[in-house]
Amino acid sequence: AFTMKLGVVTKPGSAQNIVAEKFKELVEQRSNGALSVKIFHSASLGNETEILQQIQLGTIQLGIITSGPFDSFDPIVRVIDYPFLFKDSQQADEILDGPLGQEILTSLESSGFKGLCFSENGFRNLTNSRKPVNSPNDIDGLKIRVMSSALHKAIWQALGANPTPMPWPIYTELEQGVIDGQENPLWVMEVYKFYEIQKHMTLTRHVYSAHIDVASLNWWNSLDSDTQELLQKSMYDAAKFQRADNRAKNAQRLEMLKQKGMKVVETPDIGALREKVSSLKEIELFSDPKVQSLLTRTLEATR
Amino acid sequence: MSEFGLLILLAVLFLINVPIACSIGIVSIIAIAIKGDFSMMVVIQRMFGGTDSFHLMAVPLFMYAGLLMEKGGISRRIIDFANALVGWLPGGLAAVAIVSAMLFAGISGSAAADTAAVGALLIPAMKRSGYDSDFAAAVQASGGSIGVIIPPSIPMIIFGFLTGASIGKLFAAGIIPGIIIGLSLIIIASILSHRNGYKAAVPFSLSRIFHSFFKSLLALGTPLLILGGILFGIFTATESAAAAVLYSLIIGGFVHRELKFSDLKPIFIEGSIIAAIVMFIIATASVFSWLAAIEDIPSLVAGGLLQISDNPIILLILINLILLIAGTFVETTAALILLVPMIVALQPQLGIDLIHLGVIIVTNLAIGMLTPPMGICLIVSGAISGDSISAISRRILPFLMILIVDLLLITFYPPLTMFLSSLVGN
Amino acid sequence: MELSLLGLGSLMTIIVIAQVISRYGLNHSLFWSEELARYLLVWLTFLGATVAYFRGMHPGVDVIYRRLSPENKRYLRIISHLLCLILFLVMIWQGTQFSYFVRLQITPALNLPKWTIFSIIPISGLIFMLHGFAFIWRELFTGEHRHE
Ligand code: NA
Ligand code: NA
Repeated sequence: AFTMKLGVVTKPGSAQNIVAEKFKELVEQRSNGALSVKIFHSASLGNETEILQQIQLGTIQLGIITSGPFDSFDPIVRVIDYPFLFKDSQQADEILDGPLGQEILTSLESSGFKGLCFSENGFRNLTNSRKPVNSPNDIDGLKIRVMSSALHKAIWQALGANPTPMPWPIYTELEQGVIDGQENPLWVMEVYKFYEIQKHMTLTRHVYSAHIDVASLNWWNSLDSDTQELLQKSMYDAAKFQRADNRAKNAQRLEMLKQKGMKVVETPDIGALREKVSSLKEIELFSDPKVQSLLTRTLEATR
Repeated sequence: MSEFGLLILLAVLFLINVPIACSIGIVSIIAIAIKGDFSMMVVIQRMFGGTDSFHLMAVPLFMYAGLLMEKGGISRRIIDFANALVGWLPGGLAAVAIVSAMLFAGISGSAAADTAAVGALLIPAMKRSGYDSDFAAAVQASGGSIGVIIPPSIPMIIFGFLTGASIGKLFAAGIIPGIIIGLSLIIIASILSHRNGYKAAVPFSLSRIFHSFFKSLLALGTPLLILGGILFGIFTATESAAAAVLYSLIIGGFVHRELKFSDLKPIFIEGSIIAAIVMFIIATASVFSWLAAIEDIPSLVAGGLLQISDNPIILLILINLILLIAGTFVETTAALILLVPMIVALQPQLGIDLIHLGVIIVTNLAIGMLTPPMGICLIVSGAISGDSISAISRRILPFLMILIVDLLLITFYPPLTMFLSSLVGN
Repeated sequence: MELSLLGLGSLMTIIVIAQVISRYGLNHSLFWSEELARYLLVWLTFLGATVAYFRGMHPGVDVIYRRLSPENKRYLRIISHLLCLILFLVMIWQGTQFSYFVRLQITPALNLPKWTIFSIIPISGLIFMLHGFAFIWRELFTGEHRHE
């Protein structure tokens, strides 16, 4: 039996791991044991960028990776991270499972990745230890931890915050007040226990955080078409399973976070927030013609 | 070639005195070449990835801080204060050596630096007062090992880097164990000194204590700055190291006026080289630990240990044994990178906090710094006293025994570590 | 070489201090500081390691070595340097390949080409190798060696 290696950076129970485990289950079941999947989790192989490089090198075959780190390989993935792009999950699915999403997956081939499909971290929300956030004014001057990404920095600067890059994990820094807040999907607040140290949460849903589920292109091309089909189908089914699972759990998570004492602003002034970032589509990061074209068409389609 | 063959090769390279960092790198390269299905480029990626860390920046920063304090007259004032505090005990200087090492541990993150900074002054002083040279070296080596238990601590930073454990909490957790170890070493040193007929260094004098305390006040403020800064959320562990550099520059340069501008160049160069030696081991050991991960070795070893027993107490004793043996032969940084993934894989069965586990591991490795052949404190201390490692090793036995008692205490009585660490951030 | 360590180390220290001051004093976090300081650390590691090799400071286990005759010590030193060349050659050869491999990637915060950052590995590999050859040359032909 051939064992393929799949890398994720997060620990068991996290969104990426749920996709990975479902994929493993489906592949092993559907191939009647002819194929097996070994999952490497908790960053045992390196960070997400390094996992992607190992996929390019063919050292491992597959990865469930958040869209951010793809940025340094192919700028087209920035379109997914554009702020306030998708109204809701259904719209995200429509776009990413449709031709526009396919365009992104196909584009990754020039970097040596076979893009299989998208799964999700989910919509990102803001938490902080200082005050309830309803409108852009409340964000002014908050020290928000953001990922080391020029786009995320630009988003939070536009929203008026003081975006602070900080390596994960950030629990202690939040606890100690080195930073005021952070922004992540709901499952992160649950799994990393941010409800213990962050009083306020606002359902800003400012960025839809997707995973791109990829394989090594060289390896993929060496497979026969039956195997390709089995793997493609299994990954897609695993992704659909995980998206549904994540969304179903979000309602409970929100209840749980409130029960733990978080004050949640469920309907902030999204219009005003969106207005603040409206000039972002003109910035340098989206200036590449291919990127600009996809962004324009996606904004059109989600209007 | 089997994993076992590779381990033998590693042992052979170690024994023929190939530098540890290079040995680990060479064995990893050979393993990848033999396996044949990984690109050799992964060696480069892991060497880079292993050192590309904001947390590890604290390694050179604490090195600079330690050297600046030494040049800026801070260590001398600490020793004066320790002398007034415990110099009147039987074998006063031995107690002074240990207390000074404890105080200096609050500044330095490395046991070797601690041993060197305090030993450079106190080993000659002990010899002049009629102490056996090898005993003086043994006392200083055992005291220096506290350098990694009382925060700041480079091994704790590396543990935090490897596991994601909060470095601030690890630091806080090390304080009480460090004090207990220090006190137990003082007791042993005093008993042995009494038996050998070594006299007190100075008579007891309250005014001397106060006088030297006030003179060393700013020096003693450094550990408070580092810990307080972390505890009150002013900065991260790495930033606290930078703050310590700034603080020692100001104290040494403008208050004590002992640090000259021309001292800075050698301090930054020497500090960088010592840090690079540690970091280069991290670089090559990261290749090795990647290989281990992709071959699933941590969970195989953890599974093997669980076969022996799933009783947390027996597992903890087994872990302590493995670490003590590893610490005997392998350098601290390498031992951390190679063993921590396996031990952390067992954490669920151990039922103890990651922070507590971190302190247990660091304490074990601190003891390993006192055992030949690879005992960095022995090496440093012997270089100062001029004794052979084997001569010092004989005199260090009683200290090792009490350290093992301390280790068991720290392992099986969690409040010693968890009490202070639970206060971090609250 | 040693001066480059002075530059890298002091710059790294200044950047970390500047980040703290900027975050508190100006309530404006420097976005590039974390990434730049990390890369300075990597450069400091690899360049510092070559200096340590030149000075014979990398720790090893010398229990057996210490007990050997001067002649046997010399053989062991030559063997050790030869073995280390394996690592140095991989750093040069694979390091160059890897720098080429990441030639299109840029760093997230500073937008620097990654190959410039990674090139420190082949560069330091080359310095290591030159030191190694010099050590072996001296051992073989001049009978000198820099350190016990
Ligand atoms: Na210390
Ligand atoms: Na040892």
